Amino acid sequence: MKKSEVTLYILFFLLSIVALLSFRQIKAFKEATEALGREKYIEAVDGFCEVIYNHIPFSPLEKKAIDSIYGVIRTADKMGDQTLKLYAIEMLRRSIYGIRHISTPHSAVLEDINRLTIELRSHFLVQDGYSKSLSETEAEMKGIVEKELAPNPWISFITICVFLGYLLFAFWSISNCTNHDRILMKKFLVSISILLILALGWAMGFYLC
Amino acid sequence: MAAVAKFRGQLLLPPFLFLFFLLLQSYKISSGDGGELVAASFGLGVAHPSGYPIYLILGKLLSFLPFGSIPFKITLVSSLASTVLLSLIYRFLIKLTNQTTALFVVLLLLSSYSFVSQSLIQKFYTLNTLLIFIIFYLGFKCLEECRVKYLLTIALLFGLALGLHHTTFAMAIPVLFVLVRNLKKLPKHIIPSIACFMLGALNTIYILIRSQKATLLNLAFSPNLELLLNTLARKAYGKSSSTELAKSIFLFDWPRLCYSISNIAHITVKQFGYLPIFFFFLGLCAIYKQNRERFFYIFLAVIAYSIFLSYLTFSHSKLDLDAVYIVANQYFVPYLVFFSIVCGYGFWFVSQLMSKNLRIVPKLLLLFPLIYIPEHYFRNNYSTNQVPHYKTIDQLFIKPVKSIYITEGDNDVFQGWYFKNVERFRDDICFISAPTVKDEFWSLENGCNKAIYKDSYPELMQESEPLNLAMLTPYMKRLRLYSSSPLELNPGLSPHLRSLYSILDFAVMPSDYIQDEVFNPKFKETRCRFEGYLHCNICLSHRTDDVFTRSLCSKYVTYLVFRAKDLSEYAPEGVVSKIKVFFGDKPYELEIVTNEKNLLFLRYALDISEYNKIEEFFLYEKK
Repeated sequence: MKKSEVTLYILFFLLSIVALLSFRQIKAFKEATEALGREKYIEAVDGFCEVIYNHIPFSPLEKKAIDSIYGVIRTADKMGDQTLKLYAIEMLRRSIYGIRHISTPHSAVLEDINRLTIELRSHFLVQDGYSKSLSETEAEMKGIVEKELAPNPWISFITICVFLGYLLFAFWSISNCTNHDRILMKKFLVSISILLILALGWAMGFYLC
Repeated sequence: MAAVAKFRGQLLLPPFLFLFFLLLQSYKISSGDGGELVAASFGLGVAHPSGYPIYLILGKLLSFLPFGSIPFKITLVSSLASTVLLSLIYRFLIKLTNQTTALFVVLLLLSSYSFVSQSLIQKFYTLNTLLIFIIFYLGFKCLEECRVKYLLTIALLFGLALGLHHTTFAMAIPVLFVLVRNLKKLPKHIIPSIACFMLGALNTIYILIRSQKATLLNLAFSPNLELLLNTLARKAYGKSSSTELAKSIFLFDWPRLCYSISNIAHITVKQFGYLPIFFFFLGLCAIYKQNRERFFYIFLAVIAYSIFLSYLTFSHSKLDLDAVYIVANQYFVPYLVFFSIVCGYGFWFVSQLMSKNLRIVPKLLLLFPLIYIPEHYFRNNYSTNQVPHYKTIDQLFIKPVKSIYITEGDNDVFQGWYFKNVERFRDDICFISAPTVKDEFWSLENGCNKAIYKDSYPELMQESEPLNLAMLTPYMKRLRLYSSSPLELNPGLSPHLRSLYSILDFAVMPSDYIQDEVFNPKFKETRCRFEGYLHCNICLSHRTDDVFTRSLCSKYVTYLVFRAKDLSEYAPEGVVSKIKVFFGDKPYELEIVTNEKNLLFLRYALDISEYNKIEEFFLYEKK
């Protein structure tokens, strides 16, 4: 397969994914806006979260969807419906966490939403007669909301690149250290040494990330 | 002209295949292992034994794409693997036969239920099949000319296979044939081959390394070499472990062999119908006529992934739903590939016979698999399947803040782990998981990780004492302990605890504390309050016949029946009906007075139940 062919395929794959995600975003946004018009808030939140979930960088619809969910949060506040507020907050929060890649899109929103999550969860707990005070409960919730066990994205990205490099180099070495029926032993041993160094690299990376 | 058409076919096929899979693939978590594999990939954790590091690493790599959701990107591992696999098969056959034959094989595979369904969800079977096909291809090349680079690459790939599903090792049977054919060359290449195998197998130290750390998910904790070897041998599965299965090869049993052959026949007919079987036998004859060595090699590959694998894993005398859904639907994807390739030779044979006078016949035969492909839109349309996604959201959202949730079985807990650990949805809830509630071994590791929850749930984190539900009495009394199945099913717990159906799950309380007249109205009120938050409708809009998805929908059926019961009191003079619901496997009869208000709920429950009959699974034949 030629290099140009591979590039063409990758381009096609990426474009078709983006086209599909755009289509889903537009459809979900339309449905959610309609639901919001009918005051079907849960349906609207689901739809706006769907827009975020089909994430495309720089999509204007995502910003609008986030604003609309904030609108539902304000409406829930006005109506005194704390359950709806919790639903909107939790759903927005999970949609953003669910589209993380090497960076986290809408990280500023996430920061604010984490704060609201802590407040609201604590409010519910204290209201239910929790043994701790509000500030203590908030500190406890903060401990849960802000702790992160996901691997560091940059270290894991580099590590995986090294791992793939290791595999590719292994295949390359096999075809280059052999000559029909013969193994070029010197080259083969050098390749194995390089592979072991690379293996050490990705092993360390997996430990560190 | 022919060359241009051939080139066009080669160029256009991969985009077409990719679009086909992309439109149908799941973009949210799928049922079963889906949640686990996505969470383990994203968090660079460890999946269930044998750990599957290769799948997890590739999944993580794709999760770096800057668009779409994490589950969508990790499903791409399966759909891309299938795209590459079918493109390689096409290129492989075009060289040996002709373009129409290659297209026939691709279409035949696209008409297969299991091949397509496995390409659309978060699972490793298509990636595994791709690896198997590459080994097969290299072995095939070795038959023509045994170059040392092919042997070393095969060794490297076998090493890599340790980080995937162990069915790859069945490929050792046809490869052994190649090695025997080239016995003279072998001795001098043994040590380099072992070195290459080891270099490939090195990927498994990922499990060892990641077990040293607190990760988002680790289902095969292996911090030392002994545990790593146990994980790789899948010792946790007891009789189904890889080592036990390997041992069972030597316990030859005629009835078992007969059952495995009959079960393979069942899979073949269900996947392809009867006509391809004719092509298959014709294909075997055609290959034999063409080249005997090729015949033995391909025949051994077919036998290895059909009768041999079936003898090890699918020799049940009676095919129950579990065996068909878990084993037949997943393990035999490589068999479907080899079967289709042989069918392709049969097709080629027929087209050669008709090349003079009836040229149109092969083209018409192409229509045969084409007829079945649209069926995937209704059976395998995972893009419409939102059941695992919303059912988990519903189940978690309705729980009070800082609750403890006991889950039973993989299908319930894997999606919960994903939502809680990756999407951080209701991460205030702590999960305790049990293979079944009857089991003695309950685990906290992945659903209530110490690194995060040690301050919030100190009762559960005492290292000196094993998990004891008596310590959770304060949670029970504050209605904060829930279970996906009634805990009374566990004989050790039944004298002490009682479960009351709340909403989708059960509230667990001490036996002496429970008062039906106090709690039932409370739960009734909760069921009414959360009615608008539940996504029951998704159970009527998915177009998949996935068994696990359908079984998840039973949760909504039970809820709707309870809602109907709650509304019974509004017209006590109505007709009394007895309705059976299931709590896990346990049937439970509810007496409901039907009236205008609750009839709608019962109708809805019936519709969901009818639409999600698990016995109607494609590969299953109810006798």
